[in-house]
Amino acid sequence: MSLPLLHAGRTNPGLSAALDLRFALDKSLTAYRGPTPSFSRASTGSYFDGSGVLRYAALNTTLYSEDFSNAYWTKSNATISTNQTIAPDGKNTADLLYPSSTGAARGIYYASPPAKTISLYAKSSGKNWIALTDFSAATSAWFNLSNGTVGTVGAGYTAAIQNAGNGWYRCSLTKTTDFSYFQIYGTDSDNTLTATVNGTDGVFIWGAQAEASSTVGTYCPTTNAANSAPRFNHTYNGTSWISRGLLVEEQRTNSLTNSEDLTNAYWTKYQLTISGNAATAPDGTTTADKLLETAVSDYHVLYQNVTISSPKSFSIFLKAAERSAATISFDASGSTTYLAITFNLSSGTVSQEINNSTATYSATIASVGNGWYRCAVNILTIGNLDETRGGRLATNTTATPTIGGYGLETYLGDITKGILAWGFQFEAGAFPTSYIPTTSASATRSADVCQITGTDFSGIWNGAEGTLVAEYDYQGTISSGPLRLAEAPSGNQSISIQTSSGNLYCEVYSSTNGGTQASFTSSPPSIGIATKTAIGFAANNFAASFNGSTVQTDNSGAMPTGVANAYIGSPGGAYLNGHIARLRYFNKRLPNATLQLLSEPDPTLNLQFALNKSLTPVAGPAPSFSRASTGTYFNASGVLTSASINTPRFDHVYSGGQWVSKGLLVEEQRTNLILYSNDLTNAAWNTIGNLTPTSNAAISPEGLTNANQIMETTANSTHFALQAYAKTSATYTLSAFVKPNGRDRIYLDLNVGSTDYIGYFDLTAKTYLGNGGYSNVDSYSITDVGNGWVRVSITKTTNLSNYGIFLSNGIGISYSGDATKGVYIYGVQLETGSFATSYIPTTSSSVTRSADVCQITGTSFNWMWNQGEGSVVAEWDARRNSGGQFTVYWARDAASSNTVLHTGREALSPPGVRFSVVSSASVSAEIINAGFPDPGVQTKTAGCYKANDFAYAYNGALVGTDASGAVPINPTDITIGYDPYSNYLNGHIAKLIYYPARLTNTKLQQLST
Amino acid sequence: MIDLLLKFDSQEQAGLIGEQLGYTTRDPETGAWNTTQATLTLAICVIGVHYYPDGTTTEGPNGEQVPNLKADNQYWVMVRSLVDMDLPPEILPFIVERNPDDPTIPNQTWA
Repeated sequence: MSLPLLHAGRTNPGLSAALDLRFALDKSLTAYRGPTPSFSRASTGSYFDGSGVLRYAALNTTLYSEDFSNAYWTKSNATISTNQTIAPDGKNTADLLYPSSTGAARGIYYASPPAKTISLYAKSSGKNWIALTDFSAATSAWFNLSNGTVGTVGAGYTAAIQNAGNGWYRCSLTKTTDFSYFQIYGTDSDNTLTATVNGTDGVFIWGAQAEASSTVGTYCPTTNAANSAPRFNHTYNGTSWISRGLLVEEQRTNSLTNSEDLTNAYWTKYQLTISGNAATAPDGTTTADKLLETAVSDYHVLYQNVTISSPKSFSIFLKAAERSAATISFDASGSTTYLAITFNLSSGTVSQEINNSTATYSATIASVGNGWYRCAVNILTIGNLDETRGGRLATNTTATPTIGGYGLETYLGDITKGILAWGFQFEAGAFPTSYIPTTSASATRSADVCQITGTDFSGIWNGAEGTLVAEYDYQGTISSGPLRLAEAPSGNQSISIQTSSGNLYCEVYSSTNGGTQASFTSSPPSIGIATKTAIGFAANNFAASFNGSTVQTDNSGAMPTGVANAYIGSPGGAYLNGHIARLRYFNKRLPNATLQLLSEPDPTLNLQFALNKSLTPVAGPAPSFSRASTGTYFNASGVLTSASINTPRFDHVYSGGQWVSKGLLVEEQRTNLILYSNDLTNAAWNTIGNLTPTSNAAISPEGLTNANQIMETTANSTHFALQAYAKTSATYTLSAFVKPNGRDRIYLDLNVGSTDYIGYFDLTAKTYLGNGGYSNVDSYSITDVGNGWVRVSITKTTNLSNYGIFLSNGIGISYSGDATKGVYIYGVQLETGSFATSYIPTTSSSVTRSADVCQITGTSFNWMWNQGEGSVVAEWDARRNSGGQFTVYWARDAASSNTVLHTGREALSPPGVRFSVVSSASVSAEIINAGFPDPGVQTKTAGCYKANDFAYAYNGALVGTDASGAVPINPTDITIGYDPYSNYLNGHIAKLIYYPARLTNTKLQQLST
Repeated sequence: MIDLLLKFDSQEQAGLIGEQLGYTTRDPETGAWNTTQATLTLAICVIGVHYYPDGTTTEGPNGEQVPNLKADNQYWVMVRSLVDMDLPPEILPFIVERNPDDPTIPNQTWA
């Protein structure tokens, strides 16, 4: 599908958004198109930066940071002329400061900023020096605005200057205690506060900031209230930190004190000792404490008792040390009523949940990198637990401890063992929000407020028609939406992307026209999963699409009037408690097809193995891979190459005269039973007849001169090279790489007693010629591998006496030889199985190639998987194993009772390729494409799941749908190219893409074409 | 990395040990054992009963002397751990030292 309206880039033609806020991409409030929103938060707030360090968005406590004419700033023999030049933000808002008389201390100031760092943007306007001063000249620092250097700095202070472009410099001064004053003086030179009047010679100033941090934070403008910078947050997908956009949260209070100092007496330690500042915490400082057990058989627990009414959330950053499990418990005053949740800090899972109470709860664990996990227990209703008792943190000996009284494990402690902990938080609310550090008092993070109002809004607004597109996610309870356009927060005239009873919801509302004009509802989104919604609006022409779903329409209704504001992340007073990745407003009502396209979800996993020849994903987490042995494959140049242990093989096949990338090769375990598989001169080839083998005689498929030559003698007889070692009955496949060298016909032979199972091959025509007059094999193959080489194989179920190769003159197997004729041969392989797998070199012993293991588990899986709905797109080729099976992928829980699987099954009726969904051990859907693709033939499939809504497409055709059944509950990992029952793909995964949404049937067909 | 060769008295014994360690399951319907081939950290190769020459031969069709085989009626398993680990005590009694010169011990290695 190609739609010109999508060409919305700056340089592309077509309809552009009037407003485009690319928060996740740009990590800035500054609009890509249209007006930049206003933002405020009345406190510092924490977030994770792109490198996974927990940061604090500074609170600028300086008021009127861009209006120094305000009375808040005291003028000391100085004059302020407002809005005299272009400020660093591109607006004409910078003020001019100049002395009104000659003398010392000609400037402006205010007293007692609660800050350890003060900063200011300054630019020369006749005077080249500016001083930032705490109290006196002795506590000043001077900055040279002509060359961007720091001059004299008072003792105990640290000064810095940053070039901000266009002649502007950001000057800052830091001390270890709070400043007494924030003073700004233009001066004649370094190390003096004197300024001489010369007309209006002075300095331009803009963007004053005072902050509690000892580093200079992102500038945050203020007027009559302190303000904090917006937070562009990241989440960890197990391998990398992903930009999620603007974090908008409601106000929350951490009621625990000394949240990072467990040595403080506020913390009750029972049979635990604390080693303070023992390790690096998630914020990069050495402030993580270690909880060490005492050598007593008892509980080992730490807590503060704080009363909070439920719902409430207790969260801690934890990291395994000598112990790798911890329990968070809540109890009542008696010892037998408790809730005990144990976290496995090695695997990052909630490993045990014991609820000996009537409380309702939820528990989560999320990796924040470097071995740290944020573990949370959320008490939703208190039941018969005691509301006045706080959460308790106990160390454990195992991830599934024997829990006793108070929800704790009793065991003999070891003074050398414990866990690391940091950042305790106990807050009112049903889910944890971003971390709020505390010291001697509880602390409150204010709500995030983001809006576009006034002329900024009216300048882009079209009251007659338009389109909104929002990309966002929820990190907690789904109670609000990302956007409301309205005349006022109440939204009596509004267009909203909202929620209703936990469902996604779009609404057009006009109180003057009778209320709701149009409303569109979708199912609830999953926590942490990105969602896209698009709504188009015009009188009598409303439509919406959620996550690329079929467009819902309403052709009756009026447009709201008087719409004057955009409320971003907090429509209607409630807060998103999540991220806004991108918001777009078009002042045209886009076509329905465009709405659907713009709301299509992005994949949370995009593995392009054939294209990129790497495990590194295009999107989402990288899979883990292992193989306990080496393995061979053909590289892009067609050279047979050995991959070392644990190295994935991105294989190629020779087709149409070139080597074609096939993707990740996933094979089952196989053993080459031939000894000295590439040395036919070795005695292991113990049955040589009328044939002269020579090793290292020609260039082999691995590009080395190590292929064997087998040359017939002049004897009028058969000419053969065999290994005679008896084998018990099994299905055997014998294979070899061969190339003509005077002869171009060979027989492969699997022999038992007087019976020979023969495959007769023409190496020039690259064809199978039959059984050569002997017994039939079960199957055979001949594959061109370039440079004149072919790989031939035969398969037979039998016991064996011997096995190997016979030469032919093209007429028969027994003939008078020509001492100059034969074939080249390389890499002979005998393996149990119904087809040949990649070559396994051997010498004096048989050699086993281990199976390929590729999977996504734990944090990575949880990050990408949407339990409520999803779609999996795969491109693959496969071979059925001896049981007639293969597996493309298999998402599952530990017991495989909840799965989404894509397999080939020959034994089931009808035989074919299946997309199956199992929930609570009951099959919800099984959609089957009868028959199997031929080995090596690339197949494209797309399957989706959603409650009572399943579908499967195969090579562009919709195989079927199923409108009944539940979704899998809490799967924990996905295996790629195999399943837990050792059914391997024995082929290639070219690509695997996962969308966290049920794509439309049409889209499934497109993606599988 | 740890490489082990294990010898059990029977498939049943091997299966029970494997089940205890979480690498083997028994199909409730057929009773057949299914052993994980590989995880991210471990690979298991079930060799099964080992056949070795009993010292006698039979002449093959090309005149070669094909050794006759004898089943040892033991159950062999090859294990490779990609990570260093404490060996589970359950398997300690079954560890066998490799000996390529001893035909009664499977001569099989990992690629």
